[in-house]
Amino acid sequence: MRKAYIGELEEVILLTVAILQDNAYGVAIGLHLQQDLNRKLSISAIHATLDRLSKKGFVTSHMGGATAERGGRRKRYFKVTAAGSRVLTEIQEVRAQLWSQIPPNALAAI
Amino acid sequence: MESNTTKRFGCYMSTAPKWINSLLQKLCKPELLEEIEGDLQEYYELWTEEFGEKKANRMYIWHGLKFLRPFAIKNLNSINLYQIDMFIHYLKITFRNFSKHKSFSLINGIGLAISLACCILIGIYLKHELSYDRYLKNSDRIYRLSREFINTDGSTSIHLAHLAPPFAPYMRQDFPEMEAITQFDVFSTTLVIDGKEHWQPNIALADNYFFQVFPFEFISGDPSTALENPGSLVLTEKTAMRYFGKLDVLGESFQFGPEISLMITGVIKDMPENTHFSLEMLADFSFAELNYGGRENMMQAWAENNLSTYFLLKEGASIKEIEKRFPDFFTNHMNEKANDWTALHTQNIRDIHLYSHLDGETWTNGDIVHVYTFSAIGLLILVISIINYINLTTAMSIQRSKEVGLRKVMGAVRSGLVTQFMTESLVMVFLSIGLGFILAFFALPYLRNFTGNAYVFGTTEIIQTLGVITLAGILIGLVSGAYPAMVISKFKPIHALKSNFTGIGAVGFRRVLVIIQFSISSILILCTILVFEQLSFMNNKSLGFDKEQMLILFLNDDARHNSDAFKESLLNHSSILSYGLSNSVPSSRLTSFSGVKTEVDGDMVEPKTVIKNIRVDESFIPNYGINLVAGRNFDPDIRTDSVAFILNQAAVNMIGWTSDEDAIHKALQYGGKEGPVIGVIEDIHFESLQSKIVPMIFFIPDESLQVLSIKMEGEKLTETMNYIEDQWYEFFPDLPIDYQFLDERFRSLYETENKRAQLFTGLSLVAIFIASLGLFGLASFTVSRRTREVGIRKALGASINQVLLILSKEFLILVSISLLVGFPIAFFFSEAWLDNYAYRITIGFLPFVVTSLICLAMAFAAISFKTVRTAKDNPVKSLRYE
Repeated sequence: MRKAYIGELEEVILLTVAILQDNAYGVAIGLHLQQDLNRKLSISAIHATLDRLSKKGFVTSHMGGATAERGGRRKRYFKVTAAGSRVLTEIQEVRAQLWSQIPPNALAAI
Repeated sequence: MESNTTKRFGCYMSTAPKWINSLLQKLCKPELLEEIEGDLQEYYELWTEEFGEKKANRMYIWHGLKFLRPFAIKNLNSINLYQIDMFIHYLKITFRNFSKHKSFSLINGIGLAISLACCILIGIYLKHELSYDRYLKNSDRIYRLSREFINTDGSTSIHLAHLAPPFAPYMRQDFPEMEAITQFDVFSTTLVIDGKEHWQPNIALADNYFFQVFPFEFISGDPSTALENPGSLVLTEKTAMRYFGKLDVLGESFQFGPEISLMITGVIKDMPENTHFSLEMLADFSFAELNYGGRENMMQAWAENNLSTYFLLKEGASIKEIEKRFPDFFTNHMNEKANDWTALHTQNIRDIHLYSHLDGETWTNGDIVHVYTFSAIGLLILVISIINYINLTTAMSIQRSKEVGLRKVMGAVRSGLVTQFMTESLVMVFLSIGLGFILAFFALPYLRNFTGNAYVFGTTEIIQTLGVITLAGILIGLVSGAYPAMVISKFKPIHALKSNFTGIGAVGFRRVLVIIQFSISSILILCTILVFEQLSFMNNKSLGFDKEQMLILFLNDDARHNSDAFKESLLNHSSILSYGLSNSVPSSRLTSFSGVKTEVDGDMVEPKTVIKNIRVDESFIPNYGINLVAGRNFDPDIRTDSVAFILNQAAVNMIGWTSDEDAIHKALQYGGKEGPVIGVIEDIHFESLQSKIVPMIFFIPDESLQVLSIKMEGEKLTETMNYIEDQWYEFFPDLPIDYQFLDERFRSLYETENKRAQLFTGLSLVAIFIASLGLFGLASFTVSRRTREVGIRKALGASINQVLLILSKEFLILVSISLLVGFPIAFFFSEAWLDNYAYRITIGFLPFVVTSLICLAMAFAAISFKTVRTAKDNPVKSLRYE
């Protein structure tokens, strides 16, 4: 299997899915991003990204039970797959490696 | 914030826009639909909490629409192949039909094409009219100041587009919200360069703030200092090329007059056409100061309102706030009472062209009324041609009933048939658009000639127009295709396949449409006739003086003070009858006025309105042949006449004397003079007939007058003109001669009306032509349906005329009804338009008769075209028909 590429937005959403664990569905992800990272995304953007992630095999999803809110419509819950976990760890490692190579004082003080 | 969702049966009933859901259900993948709708719903509730229902609804729609992206939409490949095949089949049938019924398709196509071409041209004109002054960066913050003068009864006596010179400098101190304020004086003159005369209009004397308010683009020179030093001159590209033949003229000197040499400090890009003021030269303001006798005097000249004054509002400042402080400005700089008789107003520069009709506008403006009128006419013409399409297609549908019947038998569903006929109308419309576009393209030069605007029609405009017209075309196609498609697809196969099928009850609807078409035509024709009547009324109305063969000669500079010998020499020519001097001549606006005090019943009183004045010499009144109804004219031998006054009847009435004779010998104070009233003239139309005759006063001023009116007679005008010219150069060899004919000046007063009348005529003709075209098609169709009937009637002994009458009766009745519908509407609009004129025609009987005749004649011509042939045919032939 070729190594799937993962974009920045995909990465952020995948991480959010991991954070939210059993409550990872569209609205919850959107609200979390808004509150924590102050990123405003349209719902369709979140859905589209989740769609891409599941095509790449980084998340799986299942429909939850019907609820009284949402007009009786079911939620689709997402879970990070093994491939998803691997990709996240890889990114983490690559970043760490790169950071460790930066000489001290190379970055301008902010 | 209260939540707008209500708990009902344990689940939420949402107030969110339902159509978004049905749209998503149509277009989204079914497996994604539930979560999409669910998430949207949940968010919607959050939004309602946070922002309220209105905004939540907007967000719901926005976010819902954003789901229409590739990942969520049903696969486009899922459209069945047979649909494409069907579509190709529909196109094929469409073209077969067009070629089978060539004449009908042509009528439809040509009608639509012509009306679309008209719409394109009207669109181009409107776009131009609406774009005025928007090319200026910051045009939303550029304002012009105007000054109103108020009568003692609170009405406006005059509203000037210019201010006096002290305003701008003082306002610069008092209004920090104005980023820059500039004033300039506009005039035209004849320049003599290397012995050659050049008429040079639109010269401005402007202060150095000019380019801060108007960010015109400099080709060379520095905008911040271009008009700083006395003797500076800024040229536009055009004038630089005109006088120097090159653009690189910075630092060169320019001979502005015998003693004035200016230095060129800048060259700017030509001003575009869509600007309400067009300048070709800007000299610095020091010359204007000289006119007022230096800066000291200028700052006192509160009554000399002749400077255009504009300012740039600071970003974020409020124009309302500025306007609120105008009264204080007058109180501080003039006096406590100033606000009783004068006021300042502001106009945004973008509104000037279409909305401003002040006194003394330097340039002629357009009018928003024209914009509305022409948009309406364009739409009406379009409606007429769409009706043609609907009528002809439904009429023709009977012939296609067999096709429809057969299709239905073969299993066609109604929606398929609707699609088929909609395809037909869309194809038709797009073919017409192509033709219309070509027509418009070739007609554009004529429009350019006509309005004198070089409407730019480059690639971008073509693309824009095509975009707009494609959208419009789809709309028109749907509108015109909808009704026929509905009607035709309703056919029941069992009826449709029978040979004696006569169609559906669409006849009533068709009649209504014909009535609408001819109502529109009759309205346009009637309005055209009335516009022409009003015009000829204005051109031929007796104005109370003689405007024929009157030459207006402007005595500039030196000629003004030493014209006696020149004038005497004129009378030596047998064709020159008399002359008179004044400061302004009929056809100009009266803008000079002053308050008046006069004796009524023994007391000196101040009447409620100001009186506008004309300064004249003793020969002015007889030269123009103006009637004196009481008293006498000025007499040079009576010394006191230098302070005497002559009034018009309107002034006598306004002051409130009992009769014209009563006014004679009354004491009057006006404009610093005090003397008796010695005469009363009858009311003459000094200004355009659009304005009411206002109170006027004539007196002999202390200064010399600059306009000479020369009354000529006889046939040999050119010869007389040559004599006058020779005499002029005899006496003033260095001064260019500058003259006009009075009747020409009056003609140009009504120029816009003339143009409008011509446009109206053209468009009305187009309208009636397209309507007749449709009627022709409809009539030929009905006649061909009734061929057998005609044959039988003739076999039984009917004459051709009887047959004609029978066949055209229905249509003529329809046209008559439409006249009855159209006339009241036309009457209403023309009345409203005529009310703009103080002196207007009353709408008589004749225009209605003429309009009826034209409409009926056109209709009859259209009908008989086909009918006559059918009626003349041998019955044997027609009975074999079918």
